Amino acid sequence: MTVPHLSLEKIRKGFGAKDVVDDVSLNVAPGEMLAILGPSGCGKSTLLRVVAGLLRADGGTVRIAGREMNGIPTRDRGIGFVFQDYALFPRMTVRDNIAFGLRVRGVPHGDRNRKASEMLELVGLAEEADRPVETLSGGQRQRVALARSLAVSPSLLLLDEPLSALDIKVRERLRRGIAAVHKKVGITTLIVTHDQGEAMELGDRIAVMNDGRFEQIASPRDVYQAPATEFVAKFIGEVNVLPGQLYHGAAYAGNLAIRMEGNGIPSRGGTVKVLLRPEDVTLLPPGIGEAGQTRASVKSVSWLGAHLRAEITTEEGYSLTVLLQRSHPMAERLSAGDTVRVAALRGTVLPDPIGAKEPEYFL
Amino acid sequence: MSRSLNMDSLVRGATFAAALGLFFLLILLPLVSLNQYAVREGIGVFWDRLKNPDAVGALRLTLLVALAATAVNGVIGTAMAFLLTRYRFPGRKVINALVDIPLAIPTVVTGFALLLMYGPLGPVGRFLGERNIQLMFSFPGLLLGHVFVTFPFMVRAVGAVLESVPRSGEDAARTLGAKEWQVFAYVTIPAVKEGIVAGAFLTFSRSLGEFGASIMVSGNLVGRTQTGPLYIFSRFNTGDVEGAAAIAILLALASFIILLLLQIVQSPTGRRAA
Repeated sequence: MTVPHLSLEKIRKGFGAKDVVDDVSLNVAPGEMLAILGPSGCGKSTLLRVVAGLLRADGGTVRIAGREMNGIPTRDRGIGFVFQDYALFPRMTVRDNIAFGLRVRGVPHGDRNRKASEMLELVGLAEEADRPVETLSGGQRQRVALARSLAVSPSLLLLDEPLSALDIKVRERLRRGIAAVHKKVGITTLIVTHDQGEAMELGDRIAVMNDGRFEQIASPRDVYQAPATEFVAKFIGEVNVLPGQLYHGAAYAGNLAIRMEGNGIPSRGGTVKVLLRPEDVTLLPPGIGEAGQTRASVKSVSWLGAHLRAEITTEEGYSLTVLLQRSHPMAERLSAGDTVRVAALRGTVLPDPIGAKEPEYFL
Repeated sequence: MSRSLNMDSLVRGATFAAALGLFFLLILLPLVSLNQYAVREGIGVFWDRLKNPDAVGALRLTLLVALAATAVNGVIGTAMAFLLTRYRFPGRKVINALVDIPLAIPTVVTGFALLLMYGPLGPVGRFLGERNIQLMFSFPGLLLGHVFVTFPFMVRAVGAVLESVPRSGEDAARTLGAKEWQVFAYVTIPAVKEGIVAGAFLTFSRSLGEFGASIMVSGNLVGRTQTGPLYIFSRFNTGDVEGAAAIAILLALASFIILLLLQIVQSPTGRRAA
């Protein structure tokens, strides 16, 4: 990575006795959009407020463009911040909201109106410039909030759950809107969200946060395909978790073999956890199997449109969720009670120091 | 079914009737008799009583003290509301409870306490007296009494509004580069404007009628520290019932108009216009 535009070093922040953010470090490259993804209460919004200077960290260093921010007030950090509840100024027009940052900096009237118009153009609200913000829809309000934060030409944009107050249709449209604006402006951006789809679509990289710490910082693809922890695998998408054993460079959950993909697991014997995405499990007609496959009976089948979801139980007694494409040769005729062969296309193998447990499966 | 329904409506009707009856007996009828006494000898005499220099002086003083008390509490009451709702600090709950003390203790006790502290016999009063500053039996003493008695109104009116204003607006202003005074002036104050207006109306109206503390701290000096209510009391005591009633009806009318204005300002249509 080049010189990071934003760098967090061992940030700590607690409320009372509890550490909400616990020794977190992170680098964000210039122009990168990084998504911090985690369940509510994991400390992601607290971290964002520390970066903004709205909260004072108990320890650690925030650097923006190489400059140490400790003790620098929010107003001098050169940031833009978009709040979940929009936080627009009531009784002001759209234009006055957007020009607010320039007004408090003493930019002359004409100049700030010109800049406001430019921002309105950017977010597609040129028509609404003179309306009071109370008359706008939720989606429009959040676009005003985005335009307002960008009007002061910040070097770093911080988005705190910007879409979660909106209904689903608007949310998806605005998600694309944010991506387009980011592409156009090229501003380094940190977006906090609990919505995995949002993080996957918007983030160049995703930092998955749990209980005040980062579990994994990686590209959306790697976070999905090579989750570093069980938490990451479960939080992003569906996953089957099976107890496994290492044997000759492969992991086995019963007879089911999962090829190792060089993720640092020693290939000598030991207990591991096997993570299988439902779409990485495939079903075959019963018949004679190959090594590494197992047999299972189908418990239930449901059609989801483009996919078919099957709940199966292997002959070793493991319950698995399987997702088949509609075009899969088995899909058309599969029904509960059928016997099938099961193969794993790919999977993630994690060390499991606690040892083999009862089989689990997760929705 | 219908029996119990009838009982319900009977109880409801009786409650409404009682409420309306008490309203008439306790509020409307006394005001009507006040009015009758005031104009019993004709409008001309009524007008003359109002033009009495002592009455005019008392009314002017009442107005001045009410305006001053509203201004003072407008600032310190708003500040206190801000402190109590926006910050968490040790002793906050105690201070919060103490704010309402002026509502709970008799105003004459308030005046008595102020007199003991700031009067000629009190420690602060003596200290100031040696420097030729007399707080009691003067306008400043009167103002002090009124500020104390009306203090809770502004704090509570602003506090209630502030409670419902999310902090993210203030935070947003900070992220946009606003200095703390700009956050306060452009975001916080506009957001609590309704509370300040409501608090000001209540403070002003309460101050117009203030009696207990006033009579203790003012010395009731005609033409100097005698407010409207004190004038009414003095006139009544000397047997001038009509003279007392003339000023009384004026003060009652003023309070009514202020409270009516407050209703209009606070109604949804009024708010939109504001």
